[in-house]
Amino acid sequence: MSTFRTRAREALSASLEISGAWSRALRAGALAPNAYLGPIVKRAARVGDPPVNSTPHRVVYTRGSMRLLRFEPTVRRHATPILFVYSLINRYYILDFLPGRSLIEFMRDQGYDVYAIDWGTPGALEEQMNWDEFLGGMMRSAVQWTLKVSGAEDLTMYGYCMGGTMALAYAALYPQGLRNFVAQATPVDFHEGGIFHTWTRPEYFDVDAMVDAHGNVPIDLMEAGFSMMAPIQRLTKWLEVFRRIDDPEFVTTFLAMERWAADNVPFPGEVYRQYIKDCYQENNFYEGRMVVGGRKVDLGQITCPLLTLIAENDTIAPPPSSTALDGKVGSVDKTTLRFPVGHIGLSTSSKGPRMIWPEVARWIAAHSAALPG
Amino acid sequence: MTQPRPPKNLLTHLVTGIGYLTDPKSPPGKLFNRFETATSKVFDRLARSHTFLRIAGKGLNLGFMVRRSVTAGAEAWLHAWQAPTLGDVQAMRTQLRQLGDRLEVTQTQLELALDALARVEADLRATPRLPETP
Repeated sequence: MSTFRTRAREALSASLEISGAWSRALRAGALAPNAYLGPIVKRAARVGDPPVNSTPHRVVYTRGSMRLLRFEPTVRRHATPILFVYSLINRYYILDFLPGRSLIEFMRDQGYDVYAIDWGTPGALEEQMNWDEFLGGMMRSAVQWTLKVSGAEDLTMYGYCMGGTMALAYAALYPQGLRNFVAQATPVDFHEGGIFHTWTRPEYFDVDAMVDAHGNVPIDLMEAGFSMMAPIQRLTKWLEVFRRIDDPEFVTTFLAMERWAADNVPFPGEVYRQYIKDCYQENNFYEGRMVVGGRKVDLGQITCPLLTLIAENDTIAPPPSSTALDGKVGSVDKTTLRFPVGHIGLSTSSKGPRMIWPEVARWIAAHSAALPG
Repeated sequence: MTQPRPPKNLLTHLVTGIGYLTDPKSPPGKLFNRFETATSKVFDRLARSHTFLRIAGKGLNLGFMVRRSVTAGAEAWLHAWQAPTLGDVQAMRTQLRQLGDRLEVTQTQLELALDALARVEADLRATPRLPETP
């Protein structure tokens, strides 16, 4: 009888918890399946919230919505710091995913003084900002403050996804202070950009109408676009979690990934307009015709050592789009590493700490300055 | 992750049941799998279809136009009542931001100047002083 009572009480508390979460999600107009299925899986798997973004850090500089974060190593082994530049669309913490599966934590433990740009949530102020203000203003300040705080003369710039594209544009315009460049899953030749290139063609998509109507591009619109990439798999992948509900590590990693995927921020309006036109529609970035602050972005101006990381199953930055970088830069020292993972897998898969990151850390170490003394 | 976990609850059993029914290895799951593959193919074709993309694009544009007209209408109405609109507030915010940026630039320049002064001072202290000539 008492077992029945316990079970009934548990069922009641579960239904209250889940219906509460659903009503919050509905009120917020959430589209991501995580908002509705996440609470069910958490309760069924008996796991807590995934401990994402747990590497200790402190904010060393802010400008507008941007924050520069420092992940200081216990024992510093390299004089050259690493500055991570992430995309404006998602949150940077995919690079600081879970304890033991965090690229930032891994690099910090290798003795690097690690910094990351968190672009934050854009508001009305960021809506009117263009590439020049993001690159020549925010990123330039972030580079200067990284060098200042770490006491270094130059740094390794590590760009990921769209952050890689932005970082490449920055490196072409302001090569001073950059010792190395790592481009991870970075789209470069946008006409090789897969389905996104098709969807953003001017005959289908009027970016001016979108930015004029909304200002910053709302999360819902971006989410709807991502959902269209694989709408059925977006739901059916949850069934795999149902089957592995007794594997807490798998469930925690899955929930962490879904939480990150649902935690998007609006895309700053004017930057989005230029990004879609200059990159996806006209391929000006790749062809050297993109103009930022009155200057042409010429990738040939990048002469520092370059490491390109390719995810072989990448659908967001397909390999041909990323490998095109090699032929465009002025660098002599160029290395390309390929891994059998997807776009996000480079930063979150279990292969990361075992197979991918040690190789990356070795390359950066070989190209970094030694500590004096 | 190695902490002891509470026992399985009803929801765990329910979820495991759904998992079994949709497992490609189970008989009902095979059927579901076939349905999933077929629907995925349809959506994949749709996502690349010229006609669908043109219609979807037109629908999106219509939505943007309506939104822009509604916003413009609301702003015009507010202007008629001489009330500040969102656009006015944003323009003020931009001016404030520019002021903030200028202040920040001055602060950075001051910090750099102080750093340079400190370096000059340290150099002067390190240089041995020449005896003063009468």
